[in-house]
Amino acid sequence: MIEVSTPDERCVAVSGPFPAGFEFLTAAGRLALATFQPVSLLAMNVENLPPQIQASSGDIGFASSLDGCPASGLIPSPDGLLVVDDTLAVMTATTCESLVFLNPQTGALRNVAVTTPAGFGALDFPELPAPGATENRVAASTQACVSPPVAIDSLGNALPAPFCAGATPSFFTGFTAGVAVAGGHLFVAMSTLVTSGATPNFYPGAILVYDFDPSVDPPTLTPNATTRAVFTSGFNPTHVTSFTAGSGREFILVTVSGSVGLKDDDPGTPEIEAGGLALTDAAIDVIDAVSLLRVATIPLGMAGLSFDRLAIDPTQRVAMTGSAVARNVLAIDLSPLDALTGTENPALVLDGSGGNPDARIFHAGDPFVIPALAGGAPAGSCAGFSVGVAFNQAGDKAFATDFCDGTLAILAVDLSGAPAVPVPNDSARFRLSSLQSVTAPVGADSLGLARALGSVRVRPGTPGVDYSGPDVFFSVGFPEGLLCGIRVDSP
Amino acid sequence: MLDPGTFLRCCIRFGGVLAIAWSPSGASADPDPDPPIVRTDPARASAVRPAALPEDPSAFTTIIDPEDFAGEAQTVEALLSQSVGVQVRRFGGPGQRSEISIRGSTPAQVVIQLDGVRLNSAQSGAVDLSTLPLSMIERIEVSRGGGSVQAGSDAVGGVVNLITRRPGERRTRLFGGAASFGTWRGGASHSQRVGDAEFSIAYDGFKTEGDWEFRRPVRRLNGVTDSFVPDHAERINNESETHALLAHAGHPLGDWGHVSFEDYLSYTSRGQPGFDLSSGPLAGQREHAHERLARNLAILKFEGTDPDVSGVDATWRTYHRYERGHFADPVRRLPLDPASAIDTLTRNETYGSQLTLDRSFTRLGEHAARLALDWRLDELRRNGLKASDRVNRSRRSIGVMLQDDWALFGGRVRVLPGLRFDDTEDFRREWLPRIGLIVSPWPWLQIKGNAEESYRAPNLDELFFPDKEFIRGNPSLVAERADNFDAGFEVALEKLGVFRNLRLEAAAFRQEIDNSIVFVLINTSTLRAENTGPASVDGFELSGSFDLLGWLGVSGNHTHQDATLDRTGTPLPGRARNESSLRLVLGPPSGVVKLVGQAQRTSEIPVSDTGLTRVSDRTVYDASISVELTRIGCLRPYLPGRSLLLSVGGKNLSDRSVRDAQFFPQPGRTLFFELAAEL
Repeated sequence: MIEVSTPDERCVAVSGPFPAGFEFLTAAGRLALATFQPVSLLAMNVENLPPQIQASSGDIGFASSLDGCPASGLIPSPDGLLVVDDTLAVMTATTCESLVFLNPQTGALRNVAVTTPAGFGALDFPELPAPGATENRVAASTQACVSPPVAIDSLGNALPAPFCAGATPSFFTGFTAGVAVAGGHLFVAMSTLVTSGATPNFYPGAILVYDFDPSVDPPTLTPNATTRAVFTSGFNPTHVTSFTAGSGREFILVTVSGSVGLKDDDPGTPEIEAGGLALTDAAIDVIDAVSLLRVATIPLGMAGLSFDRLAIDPTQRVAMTGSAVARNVLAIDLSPLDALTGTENPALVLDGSGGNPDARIFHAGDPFVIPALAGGAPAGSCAGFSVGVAFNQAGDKAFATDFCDGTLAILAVDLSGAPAVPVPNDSARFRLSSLQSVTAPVGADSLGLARALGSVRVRPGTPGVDYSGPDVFFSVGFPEGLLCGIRVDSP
Repeated sequence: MLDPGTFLRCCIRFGGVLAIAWSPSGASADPDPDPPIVRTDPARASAVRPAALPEDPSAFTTIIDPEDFAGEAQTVEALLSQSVGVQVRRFGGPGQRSEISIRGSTPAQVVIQLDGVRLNSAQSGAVDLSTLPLSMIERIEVSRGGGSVQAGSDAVGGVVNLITRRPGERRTRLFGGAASFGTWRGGASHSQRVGDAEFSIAYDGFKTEGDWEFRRPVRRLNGVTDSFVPDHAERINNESETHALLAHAGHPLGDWGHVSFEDYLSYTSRGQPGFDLSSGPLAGQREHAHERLARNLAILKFEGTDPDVSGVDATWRTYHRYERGHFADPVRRLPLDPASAIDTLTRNETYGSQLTLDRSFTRLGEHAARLALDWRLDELRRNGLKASDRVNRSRRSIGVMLQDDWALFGGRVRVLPGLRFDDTEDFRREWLPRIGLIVSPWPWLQIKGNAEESYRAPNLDELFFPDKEFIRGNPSLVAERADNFDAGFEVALEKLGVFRNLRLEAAAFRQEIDNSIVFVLINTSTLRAENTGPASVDGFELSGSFDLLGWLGVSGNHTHQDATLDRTGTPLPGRARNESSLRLVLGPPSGVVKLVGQAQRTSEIPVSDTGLTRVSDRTVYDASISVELTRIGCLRPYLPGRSLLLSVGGKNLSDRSVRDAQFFPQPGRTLFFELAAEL
């Protein structure tokens, strides 16, 4: 028996370190949280503090019955989590390269009818049912043979043979990351990390597209027969977020993080520095959920975007995300997307060039900088990692978590009136309201303390009206995985 | 010739072992004009006993005599774990890595010596106890508390000295045995004199399949359980084998000395299943990871004395230690990245020399003074972690130690001041003082206390682990320093009422460790060795033993320790707060049969630095029975040699799920059989 407890009244311990993600259900005060030791889904009640674990899927197995899971001892690692509705959640699993379907209220595995289009070749999705066949499965492989339009990896080299599609430069997708649903499709971000290390290498980023109907029982999933993948403008797509523009068109916003490596050692100092370093450009790509075209790109420079999903304010005007290489928040203006028709090809570059609108609010060259905590993580080794951002229900606050310092930054956001496009990034619109230390900073001085702050989410509903408990929740990664809640907004 | 009828009748007679062996005076065992060397001694409670080392008499020390554990399928790590103040952390079953902690120390804070020469490598610091064959060991000395004045760097928690069997009279030993999970152990040794010279050679071989079933951990999260499916798995890729060879040769040098040479060679090859931290039928274990370790230690020793002129006894050792480690896991962590497979090679060598000069004299009491000089050169020849990118590293260390054992009032009071100067290359010079005190108001009582400074220079991995993601060394580290204090008493009575050999020891200790070195998370992807500030360990140790009526021996001990990080008050991971052992040995004075029962209780072990994740407590029971066949009169004519010991037994009889570390299961119930002969 392994006993795990926490005396922190804000928090509850979950299985293993670094929880993979958590999302709210529509049912009041309920959320689902993915863990990986064992790989399980915890159904949680967050009505009061500390959060309560109501049910656990137990180990969901990752046996060979799950698509794509190797028989070897590789460690399956849950990555993204999407709650489609209160009866269906999709968890992505790196290494297994799978989508796993579960009931988020019970953690039980759910069957999905998975079909491979008849016209596909046997190697197109080698772990899915044979072309033309349908099988009920609790997981679906994300290993797909894709042929990028530009067959160059993130180090600038041509993709090496052998290829999976004859002589055409091609590769099997891997490193399954975020997942989202829009326009009757399920989109999966595939980072396809090839080599890790200080200078990692990624194959071209791909967003797999499946036709998906969760309204039937069992839900149906089929790789899109005409567009199995949409390629991203840059490397390392880490998340996808659904968005409906003012025009009513549904889009998928892709977090293209860019290749993120480690800083070289500074020979002038005895320490070995290991801070994050952006190696290629980041962007937010816009995919039309119906035409399945990448219709726009919002370049953000060497921002090293964080790997969490985008936070979109309740007015649907602004999307924000963090940075894996700095204590920065990046933001885009979503209003230019209202004008997109879904047929833009080539994709528009929404940076103000070529007569296109500029959708960038905060980007690598002009980020919103969250101040470092005095006595926080050593800048040489952990210079800042804004893991996630979330808006409050009123849209006047954004919360950003910093892995390094363990701080929760509260940004005051004012989108009132009719801001220009892009929303001006001045202090009248965006300013730091407060900086709260919610876990210990990462570093030698924090041994024995909870640290490694993770994602942040805000409970749906109006605090003090719809519920009386905590409104802001965050995960903690190390040494125990924790889910914690605090109350920030009052009626 | 063996008459089958006689033999059968004898076996039937002996089938009720107790009926024969437990006759009050051992009357059924025929008197033997040439008594065999009885390996199953009568009940001896003091097999693990407090003692004083001549070179460090005020230290709280335990002596373990492996001979007293014959027929119990013991190992070095198992015997050490039964010693008060010592905890052993096992990373699997037999043949898999195990490490020692003394008084809450890290493994690298304990110096392990073989015949006075340290086995700790400068690269990683810690010694894998599982690679040390017990059959070659004559005595184990465990000194608890700081020992840096005696042993130099690293002896923050204590010092373990493994004394190998010396060559001597003609003697040949053979042994072999089998145990559950395809486990075999066997060996042979021979010792004899040729003229004035003495020789011995010994071999020990061990092999196990290690394919035992284990229970997956169940996590209780604030009262809610979360478990793996399936809840059992098989330990795969867990085969292990070790072969060890020990050769001694010695020759007297007239009246004034003795010269000897010994060489200890061992080779270990074993699978490395690693953590069981993941889901699926393999539980995340590595299928193909494999490790090969080779070690050679050669020691040339000269002992001389000049009693007439200077009165100085001198001991000089010079030695060479070589270690080669190869670890490979061909499975790629990233399928397309050949570099994500692992293939590392390390080679360590140490050249060293020690000179010890002892002289006794009288001036304001009796003095036994010692001057010791140490010189050592450690070299890390090459490390091929993913690439041959680690430059060769070497480190030179010298130490000078001066100590006195000053006896006053006829030896009732002894004062032991000591001072050591250590100079470890690239680190500041250390002056390490100590003071020890022994008060013996009566012969049966000793009151002891020590105050000592100790230190540990960072090992080469902590300093220079290759700058390659995930784990990094830190060349900015400073040495750990510790202040060690202990006090207690020992009672030794030959007889008290019905009790015999009554021994009792109690000690309280405190260790204050500064700049404690730990690998800590420094960013999203990197663990780096860091000086993490002060930590302290407070505790007490109780141990005792007695014999009763010559038939029953009882020994037990209890260790309590609070090892905490001072800044947060959180427990240091990997150390149980309480550990208790109880051992009962039952058998007649004739030694023809020995029944042993043992229990060890370990409290829950914190396994994370916050102390919030804990491996649950457990009690493990072992039992064995040994029969000395040559002591059975009717068998004696048919049995060759001086001793033939047959043993069967079991470990972890209640089949508890045991873990010392969170993701390393240990085997459940294990049965064994052994046969040992002495010719």
